Amino acid sequence: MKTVTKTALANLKLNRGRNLISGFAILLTTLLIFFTITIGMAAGSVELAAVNVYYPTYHAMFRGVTEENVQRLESQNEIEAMGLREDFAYGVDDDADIGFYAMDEEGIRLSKIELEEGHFPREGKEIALSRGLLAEYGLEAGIGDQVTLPFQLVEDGGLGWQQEDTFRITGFLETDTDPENKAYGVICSLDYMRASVPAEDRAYRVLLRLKDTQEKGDGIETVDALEEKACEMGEDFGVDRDNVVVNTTYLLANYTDPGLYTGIGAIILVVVAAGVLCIYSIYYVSMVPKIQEYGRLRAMGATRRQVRQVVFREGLAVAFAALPAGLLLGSILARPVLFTIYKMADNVETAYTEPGMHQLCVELLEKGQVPILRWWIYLLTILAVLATVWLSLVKPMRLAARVSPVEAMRYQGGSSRKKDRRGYESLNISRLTRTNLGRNKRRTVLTVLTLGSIGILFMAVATVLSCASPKEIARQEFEGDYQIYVDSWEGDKMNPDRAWASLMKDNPLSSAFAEEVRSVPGVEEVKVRSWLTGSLPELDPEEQATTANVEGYEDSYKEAVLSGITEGTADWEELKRGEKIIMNQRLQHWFPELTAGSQVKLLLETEQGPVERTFEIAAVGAYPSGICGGNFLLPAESLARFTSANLSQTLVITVDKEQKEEAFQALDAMAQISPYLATDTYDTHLQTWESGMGIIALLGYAFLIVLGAIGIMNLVNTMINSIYTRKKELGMMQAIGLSERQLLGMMQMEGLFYTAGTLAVALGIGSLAGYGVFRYMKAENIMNVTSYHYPALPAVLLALVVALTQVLLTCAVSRSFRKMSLIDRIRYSE
Amino acid sequence: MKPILETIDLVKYYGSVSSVVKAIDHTDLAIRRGEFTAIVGRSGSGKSTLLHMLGGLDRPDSGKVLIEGKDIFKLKEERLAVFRRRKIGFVFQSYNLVPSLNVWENIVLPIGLDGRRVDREFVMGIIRRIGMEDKLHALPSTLSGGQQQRAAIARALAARPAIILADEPTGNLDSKNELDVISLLKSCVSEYGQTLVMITHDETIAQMADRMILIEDGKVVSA
Repeated sequence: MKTVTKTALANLKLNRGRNLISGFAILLTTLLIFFTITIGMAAGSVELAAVNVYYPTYHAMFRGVTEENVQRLESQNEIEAMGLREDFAYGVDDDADIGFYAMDEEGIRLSKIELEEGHFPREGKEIALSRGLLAEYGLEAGIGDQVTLPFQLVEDGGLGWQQEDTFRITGFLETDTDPENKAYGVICSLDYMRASVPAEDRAYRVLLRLKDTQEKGDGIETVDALEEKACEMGEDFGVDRDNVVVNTTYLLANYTDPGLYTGIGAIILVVVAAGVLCIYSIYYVSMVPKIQEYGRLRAMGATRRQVRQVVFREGLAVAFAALPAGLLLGSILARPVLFTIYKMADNVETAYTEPGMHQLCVELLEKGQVPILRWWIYLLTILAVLATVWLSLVKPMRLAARVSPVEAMRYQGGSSRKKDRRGYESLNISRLTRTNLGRNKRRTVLTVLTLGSIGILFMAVATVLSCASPKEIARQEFEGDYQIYVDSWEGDKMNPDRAWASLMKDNPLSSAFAEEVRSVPGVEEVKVRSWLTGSLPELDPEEQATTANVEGYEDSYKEAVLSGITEGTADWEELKRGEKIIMNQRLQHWFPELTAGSQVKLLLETEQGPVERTFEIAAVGAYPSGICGGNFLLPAESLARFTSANLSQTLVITVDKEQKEEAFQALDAMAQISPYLATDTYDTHLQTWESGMGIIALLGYAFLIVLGAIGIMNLVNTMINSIYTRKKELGMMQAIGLSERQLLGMMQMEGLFYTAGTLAVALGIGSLAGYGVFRYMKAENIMNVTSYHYPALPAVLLALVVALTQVLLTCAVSRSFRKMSLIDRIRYSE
Repeated sequence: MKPILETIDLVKYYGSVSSVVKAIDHTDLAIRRGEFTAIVGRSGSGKSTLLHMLGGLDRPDSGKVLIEGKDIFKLKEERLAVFRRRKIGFVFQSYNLVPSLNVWENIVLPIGLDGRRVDREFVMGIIRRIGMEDKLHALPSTLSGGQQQRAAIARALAARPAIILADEPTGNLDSKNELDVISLLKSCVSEYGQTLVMITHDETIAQMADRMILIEDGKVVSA
């Protein structure tokens, strides 16, 4: 076996050129796989770290827990951490809400309360409060100073007589609860609270982190499972369901989309496939000149297994050199690359991302607080790369082992066992080139296909990027230029006032308000969309799949609504009668049995309580999210039959472009009248998509460029091989009259063939593949893609780059070839 | 008669100053038109280097090679290639046929490279002469050594060069094939009025030549 290894190592040196090229391809493959996993995982862990810094980290909160139950809870072993808070008094002030809270250390930690200066109260009459609150009281004080504050204790479910006490300030809070609405907090010591409130009157809020029973990392399986667990535990301690509050924001932010892993896996598969194709092709192409050598080895007594081992060990040795180099390069570049991506994503801050969250991610990265390089990423990369190398070597190994000594001596390359060929009557350079390319059709086709395969990927990605036009996407998801809407959400126990059924009672979007909006200079059109939340009591009683919200439209929407119909027919006037309804096609994702003509029972939430109603689905339609956010559509008149409350939910405003700035300012100001109103603009959506797509495009193309580099390694190898293995043949042809110019012409023609072939495959199959991807994305409503745009510019660029690479490569190879004297060429391998 | 091929004070050294190999050492030589010349000498005596110089495949350190009175090394590389394909035909020891071309294509390759029309009658005459008219479409890998060398000779003759340079053309052949090939070469050359310069280390073959030149250490010892 030692001899086998020695032979393999000797071959390693002998085939320096090829090994350098395949080594480089392996290095690039390593880099791509490493980056894909590192960046994918790091993006996840950076977000997680940021979430942990940003949000209070408790899983659930029990309200109204008695002193006795607090003691009992402490001994629960399902609890990982537990903090206490008691809201025991309210400050007395004309217009501010001031809560007096007593908290223990764990409670403070889990609530993520930070101090700007000083320390949290530990005993007696120590307090921590914000400077904003001091200003509200009209006081000036520093750390250690005493202040007298008036307050009312919470007693018997109400508030007691006003009293006041003198406290010593030990710390200043970094932020206020809600300074805009003048909501402040004063943190007191538990000591003080216990002295002021009798044990039987205490109703603690207990903040809990539950233990990870399923070993899933952060103790979070799903939000629902956790809620269930918390509720069960609450029952044991006399806390009813209404008093169990799950920290949904934190839990949801902590949730990692399994799609992320699927995505990473898919990309790795693509990289491995490309790597296998290229490295295999590199070995396969360079196999021809080696065949005789393997034959000689066999003649000297090497077994098939030994020859296989010679090939395998040579390949492995290259991998052992290239793999660490790739990992090292990856390790060095990972952080800067990730940092650059985050820096670039700076602009992508929208209504959907928490303000400051992104900045936090950048900061965490900058400070190096998130581990990016993990041992298992290295392990995974090594395994993937070794698998790639092994897969690439299987065929060449078999080929080398199969060579019989006698066959090898006569081996001319190619598997054809043809005895004769018809040939040409006379020859010229182009015929010579054609003959040479046809010599090993399989190799030629394989090379063109491997070179083209990366081109196909390129075109597919380019099509996705060109179809995902930010303008179109933004238009798809946003109607008009500006919207004022009622910001409602359901199922928030802390904020029950946010439920739509509650908001519709005193809807800030009154018709008077709408009129006022119409009168703003620059406003050209205002359309009103109304809304009813609902569910499917028969199909989905637990609301596990989806909701059945109904969106109501004014007559001006008639055309838009009816033109979206894909199945069945609907008459606007008939719809107004309230017996028939239009269903949004996306509901069929969950309930494919619902089609035009089906009966569907809806449970609609009104201010009077739920109303049940069965509709006939007149038609099913496909609508962009900008036109319909609900799952059902009706004329507004029909919706109004269910309740007398004002159901206006969104004002869709179109403004004159010239007066946009002023109009937006005025509208912003108008929306300030109610905390329940929120605004959004088309420009924000456009901006988000523009910068978002910018990053996606950059990442996509960067990935393709590295992948392209692997492909170019393949091309380099093919070119070098096709010339150097014919060194003697070409030298001899020069001896009998092939001039340098003709030689160069022949090389260029060969190159041209590979270029044309690659481009034909890349642009031909690639364009078809791109169109296929577009159809899929459209059908699955991915990125809101609606219309097909051929990626003309990327296609031209691809053609130019491939052609240029080819020309440069031909020049470089032929120059190096010509450096060798004619005599050496003729003597080569003699 | 003026020589068709002539060298004047030809010098080619290899290696460094300390270990110089004098492959050709101030050699003067003149070969007449239509003559069959055998160059003999021991291995490493500089025969092949001399032949390469005569054919313009390699450049000398100094001295001249004149073909029909023209100094071929005054020509630029491109012109030299054209000159070579019109004036000289090569026959190598290891046949050197292009594996992807059939026998016919291999034979007409130099004509094609020169951009000339193939004189089918003439080429067929040569092929009949070498007895390979039934192997026109065969690929080189299916031929025996003797057949391959005969095809290589036909290739050298087909372009009607004035001079044929043969570098041990029978080196890889058995004795029967050896004699066949040499007599074929000799008769063809005389038939088409060409000049043949052949390297050999075989005494018997050298005896068949009109003239024998003995080379030792890069110098012409006897001509």
